[in-house]
Amino acid sequence: MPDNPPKTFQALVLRLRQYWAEQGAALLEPYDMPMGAATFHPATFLRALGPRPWHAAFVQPCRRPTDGRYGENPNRGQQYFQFQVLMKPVPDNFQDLYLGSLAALGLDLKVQDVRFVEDDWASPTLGAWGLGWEVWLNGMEISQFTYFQQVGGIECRPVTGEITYGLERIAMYLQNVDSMFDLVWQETPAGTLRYGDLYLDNEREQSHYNFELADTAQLSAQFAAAEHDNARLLEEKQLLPAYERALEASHAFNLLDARRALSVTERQNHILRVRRMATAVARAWNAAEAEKESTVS
Amino acid sequence: MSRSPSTELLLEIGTEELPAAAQEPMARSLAEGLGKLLDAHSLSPASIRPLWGPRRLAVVAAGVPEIEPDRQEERRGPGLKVAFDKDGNPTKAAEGFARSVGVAVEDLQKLVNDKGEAWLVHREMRKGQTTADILMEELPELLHALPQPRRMRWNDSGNGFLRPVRWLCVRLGKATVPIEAFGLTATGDSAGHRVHHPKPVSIASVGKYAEALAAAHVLADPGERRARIMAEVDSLAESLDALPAPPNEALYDELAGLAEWPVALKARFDPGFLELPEAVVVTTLAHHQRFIPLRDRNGGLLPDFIAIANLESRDPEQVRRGFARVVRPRLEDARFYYQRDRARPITAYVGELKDLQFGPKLGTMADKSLRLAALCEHITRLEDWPDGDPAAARRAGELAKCDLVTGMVFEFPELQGVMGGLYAAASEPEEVALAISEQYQPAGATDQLPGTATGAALALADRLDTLVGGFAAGLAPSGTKDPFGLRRAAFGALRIVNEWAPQLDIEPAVRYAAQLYAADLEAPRAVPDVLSFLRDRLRSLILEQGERPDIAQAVLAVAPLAPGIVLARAQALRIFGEGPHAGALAAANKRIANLLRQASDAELDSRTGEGSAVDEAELALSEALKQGLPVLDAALEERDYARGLEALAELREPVDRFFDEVLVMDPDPQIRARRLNLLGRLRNAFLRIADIGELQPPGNGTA
Repeated sequence: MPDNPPKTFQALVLRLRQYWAEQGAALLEPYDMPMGAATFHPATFLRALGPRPWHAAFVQPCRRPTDGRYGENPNRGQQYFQFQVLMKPVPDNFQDLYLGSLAALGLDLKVQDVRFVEDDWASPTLGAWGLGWEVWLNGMEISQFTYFQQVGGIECRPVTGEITYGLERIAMYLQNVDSMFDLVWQETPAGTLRYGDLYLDNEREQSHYNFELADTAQLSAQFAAAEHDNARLLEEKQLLPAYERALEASHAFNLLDARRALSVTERQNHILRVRRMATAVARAWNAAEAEKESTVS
Repeated sequence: MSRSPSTELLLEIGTEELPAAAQEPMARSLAEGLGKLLDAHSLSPASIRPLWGPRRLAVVAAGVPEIEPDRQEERRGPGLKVAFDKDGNPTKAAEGFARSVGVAVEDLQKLVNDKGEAWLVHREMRKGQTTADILMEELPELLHALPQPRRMRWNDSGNGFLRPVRWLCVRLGKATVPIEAFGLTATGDSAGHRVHHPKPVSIASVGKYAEALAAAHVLADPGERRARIMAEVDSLAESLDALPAPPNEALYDELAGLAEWPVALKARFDPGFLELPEAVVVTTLAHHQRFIPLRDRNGGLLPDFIAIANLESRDPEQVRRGFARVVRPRLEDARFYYQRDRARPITAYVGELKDLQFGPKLGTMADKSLRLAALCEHITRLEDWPDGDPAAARRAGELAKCDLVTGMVFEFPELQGVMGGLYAAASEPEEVALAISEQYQPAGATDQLPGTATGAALALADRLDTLVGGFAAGLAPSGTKDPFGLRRAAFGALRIVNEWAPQLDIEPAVRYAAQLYAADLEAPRAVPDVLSFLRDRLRSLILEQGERPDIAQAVLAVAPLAPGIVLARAQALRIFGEGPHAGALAAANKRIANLLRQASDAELDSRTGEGSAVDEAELALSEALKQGLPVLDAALEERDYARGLEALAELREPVDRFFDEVLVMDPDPQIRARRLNLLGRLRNAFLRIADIGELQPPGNGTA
């Protein structure tokens, strides 16, 4: 096993926070709204736009209702945690910094086979794409590594580098367990607290909700209301609240999708509508950033 | 002209990890571009060789002259009429030109061409530049313009590259050529393996490039990496008394593109997963993880497999455990879907096909299934199609697309067809299940064809339906774009027909396929485009078989859209073309075609042309044709095109004589019409096999 690996899930997070703080990243907190990936966090989606430098790292819980397995699949859940790192402009040694973070987790690169395998990333709902890799640790995908090229339909200049760690996967490897629910979260005075103690019931109940109980009529209404508000708030030039409406719509869409409540055409249509909301905010934000820059200089 | 001393050249672009599939084509274009650059300066190397790998594209050239030869440069100025006024004084045009080349007007020379036109000209001996200077100046543009599948930006330099460029190494002999590109300056150093040698690697001499890298744990030669992988795989398999079973050889190429220092390891998954269909396990191993499955001597899949690492690990056991472990969740997912999918019979999925779109404007997969059922049955009933059960064919069409809405194919799209066949086998006749599993064959140009007649009918129906729909919906391929995969569909259809029903004319089946679409698509209007598209693909197929372009043209001008007939005629025509009569008969056909083109309809009317010939040569030709036609008929009846062409070759002598002795365009309209009519009948006889007039004289073809 790796030298001195973090023995608990939370130690893993602490180790990554420590490492990236040493590289100059601002440690942020998770966004307090449901989202499908850390890319939706405004610290990613909005900060990747415009000319201002940006260095940040944070954990983001992600919700993907369709991935729910009622807690029965040891590797998949409707909620999981990403550790996200952003650097703009992307440093020339970004790959080396990433490899350094693995070493910080006690993974000896002279022992472990680490590979960068082509995986181009695109998010139709965010009008975003980038080129990069999935990173393999002995054949297992543990991270996504992306050079953003476009976000919200806007060219990224300068380019933001994004690293997304799949925390459960890495922890399972470090702790040598086969189910994420068996992961040790922390050794408390009352005994071992496991991932399953915290989230197994959540997986079961949320899977029931996502697949069977979510009120589709209400979700459709939420989607429409969010869309309406997004437009209204954009007119008022309140960009962050407008963006939150896009997040709400996106989550409502994900739930409708899990309920299989959308036909193929409707599904496509909903994706386009979320994209419209997100890209409208992106354009306005980008323009505001450019203006700030010109006032400063 | 004496050549300057020559030396070796190394150009290496160091990058972050390049996608495996892009490495070879990019390295080859780099070598080609560098070759052209050198050629343009008369610096052609004795040899030039591309090398590639995950983190580098390189070209090594030997025998590169160090200095470009001196050459005379000539720049043409204004014409003499413009350059001097009527008094012979230089005009502004002449002075301007002289200034632009930096000499006085009187130092310019005159250039006269063979038509007597004359210009002012400036001639100058241009001293050859050093190769290093040329590379400094021109290499950056070559690198920036290198063709690639996609480009990305990572900094502000240039227009990007497939992945970030991190170093440049350019060596000419012992010298470094410090070109500047991508915001970098080239050095004489390369870089070693990320882990084993994370330091620059000095390339002391170009000839030692591969050796220096090997010492830094990088195999620069992709062939060497591939060979090492295969050797290690074989030896590990041997140790398990097993045989490597990669789904295709391309997996080794990909693996060679994923490791700079490949090391093979064997690992094992839980044998309990062998209860899954083999295709599922093989796909998980090979497609998702790039592992090499193993089979025992009897062909049974083993729970052992081989993985390729990019590392000589200090503790291979940890790597092996990792490889073994990564397969598990995927196979578990597969098992989950396999069990869930089979809880319902395949027919239960038919209802869900209406939720799956086939393509823009093309309706759903439920619509497509109805069309496939009808078309597949129709094909089976065609006269030239081998015997098959039309009811089974219809059933196979109805159920063909069901697996697209199963969980397994949703998770493992590459198993489409295979899963449908497996699921159908539970409740349907074997013929139906087999046909469903074969419907996507052939997947690629060299791929296996369907093995049953019903499978072939379904595969053909699927492709014709896609072609007609694609063209009708405006998805025809253009340039490199082919969003609906129509080129592949067309090639597949032709290969299937050539194998299963070589005499089948595809055209009526295409028309039938068009009628099956909803009326508002107006699919029948797309039929002519589909047919000419198929004809073009058929031409490529003929050329691929080594036939000459003029032969393909001659046959395709008249033959039905039946691959077997077309290919057989092309072969016969090639042999005929090599014979002694081809040239004369080709010329005669061309001449006849011209005469007929100029003739009026009235002259070609057979009744006008009645009447018996008086001229001896005309009579001889008419007789020869009368005797030849039954032989031709009999040969064509048996599709013996060689014999048919032999019969036509018999006409050479009377044809030659006819043109020597007879004036076709006789002033007497009656005689003229009769002769044209004879030629018309002659030409029609030839056209029953090919338009011989398209044949090029020997030596003019491209063979």
